[in-house]
Amino acid sequence: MKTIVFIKEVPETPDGVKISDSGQLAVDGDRAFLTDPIDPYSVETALKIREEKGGEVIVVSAGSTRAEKFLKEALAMGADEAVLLSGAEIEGGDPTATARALAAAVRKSGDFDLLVVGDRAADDNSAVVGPVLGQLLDIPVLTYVSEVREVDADTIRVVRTLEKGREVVESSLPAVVSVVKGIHEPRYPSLLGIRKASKREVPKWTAADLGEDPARLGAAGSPTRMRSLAPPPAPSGVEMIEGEVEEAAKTLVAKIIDRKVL
Amino acid sequence: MGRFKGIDYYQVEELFSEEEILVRDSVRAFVTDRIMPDIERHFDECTLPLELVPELGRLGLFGANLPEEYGCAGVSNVAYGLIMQELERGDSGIRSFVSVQGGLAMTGIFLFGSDEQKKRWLPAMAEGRKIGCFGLTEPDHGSDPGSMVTRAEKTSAGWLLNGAKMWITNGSLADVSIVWAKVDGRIRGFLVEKGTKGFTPVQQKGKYSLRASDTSELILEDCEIPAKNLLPLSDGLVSPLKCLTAARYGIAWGAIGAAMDCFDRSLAYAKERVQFNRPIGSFQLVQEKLVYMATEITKGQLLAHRLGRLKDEGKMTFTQVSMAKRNNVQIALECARLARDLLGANGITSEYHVIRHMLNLETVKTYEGTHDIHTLILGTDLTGLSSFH
Repeated sequence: MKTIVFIKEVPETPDGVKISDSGQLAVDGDRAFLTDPIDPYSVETALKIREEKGGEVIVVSAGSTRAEKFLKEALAMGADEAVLLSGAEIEGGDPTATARALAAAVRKSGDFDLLVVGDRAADDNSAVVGPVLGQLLDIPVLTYVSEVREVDADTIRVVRTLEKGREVVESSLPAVVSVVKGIHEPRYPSLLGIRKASKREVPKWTAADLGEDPARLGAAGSPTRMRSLAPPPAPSGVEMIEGEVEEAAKTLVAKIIDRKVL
Repeated sequence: MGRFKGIDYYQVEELFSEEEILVRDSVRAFVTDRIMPDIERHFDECTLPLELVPELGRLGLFGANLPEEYGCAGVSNVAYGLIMQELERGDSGIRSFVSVQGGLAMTGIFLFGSDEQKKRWLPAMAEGRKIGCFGLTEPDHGSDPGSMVTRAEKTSAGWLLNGAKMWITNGSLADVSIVWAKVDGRIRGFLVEKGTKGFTPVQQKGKYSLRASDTSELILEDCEIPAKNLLPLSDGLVSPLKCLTAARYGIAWGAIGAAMDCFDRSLAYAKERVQFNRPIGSFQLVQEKLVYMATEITKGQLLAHRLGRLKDEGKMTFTQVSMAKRNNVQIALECARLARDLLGANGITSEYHVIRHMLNLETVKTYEGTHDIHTLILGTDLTGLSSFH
């Protein structure tokens, strides 16, 4: 079972990110980046499948060289290999252009059984990369997966957690699975894992290595573009109800009824 | 409170290797996720979170700077220090558990044990399957351990131990206790296994400090152990003192972690707490406290980092460890007291954690060589004139 996991760096919010007056993102140095909080769940999903079925886990990220640290964290958790897709032609892509780079990396790495991504990235929240990957590679996509019930050589059965309930879905392999937080409790990188990982060189593949037209990658190849950013409106109308518990509860109930919340 | 990011006013992070940063970040995440949510309950109920012991073992935190051949992680001493820093950001009691297991018990077996003893105990202790403690201090002999009264006599089958040890972290939990006793006036180390006849650990009650930690008295009454349980390379007071140097090294780093947590909470509080229509952080008296804390933490970080590099290069002296332990614990305690003050009435509640650090650090100031004893060690070293005798 060969599983490829995709991770990405995201700016840390809210401390690391500022929005300039002109509506652009200003990130406060390298330390303000971290691996997407969903990533450890994706990696853990792949590691659990490997523990049960054997095989290998490859972790891939597209973006700046900062992501090397996060790939090493995945290696320290137990992934077998890591690859960074990097270079000016790849960086700055929107989800579609990024998915093109990832799909090219998948093709370059040969046969595979399963691709795992987070359900959505913490920065743009787009939830697009997984589905576009499926389309580019012409394989099924299973989104919002909260449990992997069964995997064998040709099929996977998963539980999808949707707004209106849970759905058990079976699919042929290879497939793309996008996982939600809580699918597993991610393991912490052990010290021995870290020692091994920090000695590893993470291979870097450029657009040329991927054999992909640079015009379809990175900022240049992105069909969408962010025009401007604005912070969410500040919360307003917060009212602290003082007093004894019973009295405060009565006041709260009165306010809920008064404002027709229920 | 957002994700804990540490305090790094002097770009100290640039002094660490990639591996050291990965180690710190892994332990930092573990402390945030697994220790912080429940630590106040454990402190309140006077219990050690034993459920975390296998997890700490899986991470490789026990004896992390000891060699891989004994199942340990073999990280640098700086990485080991960062582990202690992060653990004590959680709680001094948790750090003490790991310190005693690794810095004292495992180090004692590693330095003075036979091959058989090392192979039997170290891998199991590294995994957290076996717990160790270190019995040196006695009810009437604390700062002056050389005058201990615990005795070991040779018998036909082994050794007969008599005496009592006090203030022993992990004492009631330990599967193996390193007990220091005099043989014909010379201090030697012995391994006493849990359940040995004549060996009784008694948990000490009534602590207002280090409550999420087991502190026990060890009573040895005609406690007979096999001959093979002598630590063969232990010889004289210098042997336990070598272990103490290893553990004090960890404390010098750990205290910074507690101070960092106090500063982090104080800074957040100073920005959020509004009095006289302004965040209290805008008042000069509050800023002075924050500046003092940040400055002392930064100095402590640099002291600990340099000490770690010296240890990695095999050049560290025990007097340098005394300086770092003495300074860093003192400033951590001062930071905790300032944080308690800065947080006003909230500072005395468990919700804000700083008073727990403050109470814990009173112990840390006293154990593993009191602040004053380290002053005397340094005074003696600087002048060449003994301050003890």
